[in-house]
Amino acid sequence: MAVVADELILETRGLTRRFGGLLAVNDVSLALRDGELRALIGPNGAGKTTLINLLSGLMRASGGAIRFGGEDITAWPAARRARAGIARTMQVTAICPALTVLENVWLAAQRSLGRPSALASRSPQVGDRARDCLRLAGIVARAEEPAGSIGHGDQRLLEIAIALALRPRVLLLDEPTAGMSVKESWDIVERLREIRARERLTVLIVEHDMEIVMQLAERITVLHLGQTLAEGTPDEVARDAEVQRVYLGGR
Amino acid sequence: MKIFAVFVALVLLPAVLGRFGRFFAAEIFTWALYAMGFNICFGMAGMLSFGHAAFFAFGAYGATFGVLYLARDPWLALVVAVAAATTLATLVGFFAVRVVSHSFVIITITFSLVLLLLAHSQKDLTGGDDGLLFPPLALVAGAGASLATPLVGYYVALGVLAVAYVLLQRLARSPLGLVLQAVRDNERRATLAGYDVQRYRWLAFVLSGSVAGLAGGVYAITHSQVNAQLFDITVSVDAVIWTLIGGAGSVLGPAVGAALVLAFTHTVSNWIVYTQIPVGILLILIVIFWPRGLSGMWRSWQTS
Repeated sequence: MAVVADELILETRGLTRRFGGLLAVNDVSLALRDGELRALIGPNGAGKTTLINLLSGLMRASGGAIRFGGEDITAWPAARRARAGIARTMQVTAICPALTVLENVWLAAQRSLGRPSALASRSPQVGDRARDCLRLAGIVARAEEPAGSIGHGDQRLLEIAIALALRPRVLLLDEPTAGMSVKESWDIVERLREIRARERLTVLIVEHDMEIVMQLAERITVLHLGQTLAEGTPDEVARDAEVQRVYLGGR
Repeated sequence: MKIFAVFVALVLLPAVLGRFGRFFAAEIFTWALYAMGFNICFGMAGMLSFGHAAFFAFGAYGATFGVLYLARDPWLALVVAVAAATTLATLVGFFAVRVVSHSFVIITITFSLVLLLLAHSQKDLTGGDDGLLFPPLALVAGAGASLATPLVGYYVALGVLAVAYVLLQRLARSPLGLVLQAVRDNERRATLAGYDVQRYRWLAFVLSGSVAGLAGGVYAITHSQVNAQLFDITVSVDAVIWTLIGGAGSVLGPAVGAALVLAFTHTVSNWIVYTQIPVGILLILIVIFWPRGLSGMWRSWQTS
């Protein structure tokens, strides 16, 4: 598939998710251009995580469609989307605590290089890839430690390393700085910048810290009550009267 | 290699064993193999099955039908045993792996009970409680030592167990083994790393059933007989007990558990009628104090 500069890589049309009578995501049409860094913001309960869940396939849409690289992936299960190049991190860290840090990344690297064999030993190629991703995330020194024993901040970075090991085209980051100190948060921002400088990646990031959002994002989408309230460059969004009323001003 | 020393010791052991000792040791190897097979499902992939008797019994009956209807060849019988158990596990697993935890347990109990009832009702096919008998097989079709000789049975059971052990040890350390561990520990993580969790559960279930069936095949060719009681739920429960006692975290743990419990039961049965009582007490103590079983205890003792 040829990558055109302005090609849309991930696109939703009328995406909807219903929980009983509640429309958590209501008719959202989102279009991510290949290579852009988009922030997804909105008050609590706006539907940000639900939208990420729909995009990554952990949740099925009640309505609407999702296209990835021109293909309709609305019916694809999560694992297939991950293999196709949509990686995500969880808001609450999801790792295998008993495995080492390296093994956690290794799993994703292995799948992106082929099915795991039952009798062969672990291939060094996969290990190298996993180490590269740990280096990129800045936690390669922790490689041999059990993943459950490293600090919270490092676990967040581990999540990012695992996502990178899939060699994704789109990276969905659900509050990667959740529960981190200000300094740690900015470390993550630095990491993300470095990663983006090295890999061609489209990033959709859910982030609460407006300072980080304004600095990092190229474009911002504001969700409110499950619907798109505004979309534009950081400046445009910051000036938007509606956004000021429901979100920025309310803080 | 400590394990190699153990193997050499086991090769030499019959020299000091009597007829019954050899027979009983072969029995232990067979059930140890069954327990190791069970543990692919339970220990590696985290699915608690209470229906593995069915795979053992399918393997045993498969081997017997192979002997009765195909050829009097013990090795062909083992192939048929594995094929029969694998087919069953593929079918059952297709449905069972769609659910987890207690629902999975219930599905495995249900299918094995259905097969137990069928085995008892289809007496023409299975022989019911009386079972099916066939004249003892020769080691190599038509010639060689009889498999009913305890010494031959001993080495056949030990040989199959050793080969299975080496393969399972490889599996545990292989890429697939690591994936199964991830599927067991954090389903969501495995999914987001691109693995179809149900597929890998299914694969583990089928492998597990195959090895249990192989054990059933060994049972059949060394006993020259099978019966419908092999489908009994107690056979399924035994695998769970042995594995919990021996430890689900290693390949050898369940085998050690099977060996210890069988040897213990046999020894105390001279004085105690209800041998399940001391085994039950032991199980409770182990689950409370050493939840990773004897092999887990051994490991932490070694590392400390």
